[in-house]
Amino acid sequence: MSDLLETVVFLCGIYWPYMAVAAAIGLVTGWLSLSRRPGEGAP
Amino acid sequence: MIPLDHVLEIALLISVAYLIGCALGYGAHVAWRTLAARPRVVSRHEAQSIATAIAVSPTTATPAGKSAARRLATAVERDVAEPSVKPVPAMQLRPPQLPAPRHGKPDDLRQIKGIGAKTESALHDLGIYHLDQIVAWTPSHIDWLEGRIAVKGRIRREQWVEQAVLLLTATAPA
Repeated sequence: MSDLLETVVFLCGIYWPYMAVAAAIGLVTGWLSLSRRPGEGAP
Repeated sequence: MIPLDHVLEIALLISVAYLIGCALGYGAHVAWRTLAARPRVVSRHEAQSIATAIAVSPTTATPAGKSAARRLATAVERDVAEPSVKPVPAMQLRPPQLPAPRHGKPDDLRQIKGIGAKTESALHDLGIYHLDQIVAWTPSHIDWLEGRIAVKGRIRREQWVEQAVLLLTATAPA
């Protein structure tokens, strides 16, 4: 368990910029998911 | 070369970060919409004075401006007469329930005029067995119950809470 935690902390320390970018993209996606008007994007 | 298990963990972390971002973005948008949708309270007098001011303003003295101002004034007057903002429904709360009657014996709720066998059974299903539970009902509890066990307004009209108070007072030791 502690090994896994250490690995996660280690990876977060190195790859945090990528995670931040992913979070930012998710933020925009989450925000825009509510902005779509009904019927928009429907085939 | 990055080990395969690290690659999987990185992918997982990035996915988690993306999903957390999605949830936060959605939540933030919902909160923002809720705040933006709050109706601004304008007093009747304020609304009428604004409408009148727009209607007689010299800056809108052109025929088109006058017409638009008149339409706006009419709309505001109509809105003041019949507000378009619907009243928010009152908060409903489930009344406190018991898993079983105290000492294994429920009170006879049918002593309350308006409660029959069917309603008593429905109250038991909701964990209401005693008169003191009915006495403790608040308007929020009554609103919640009226949608479930009784026709709207019956609990208040038949004064169940007041009847329960009287029954409890009558049976309480002096």
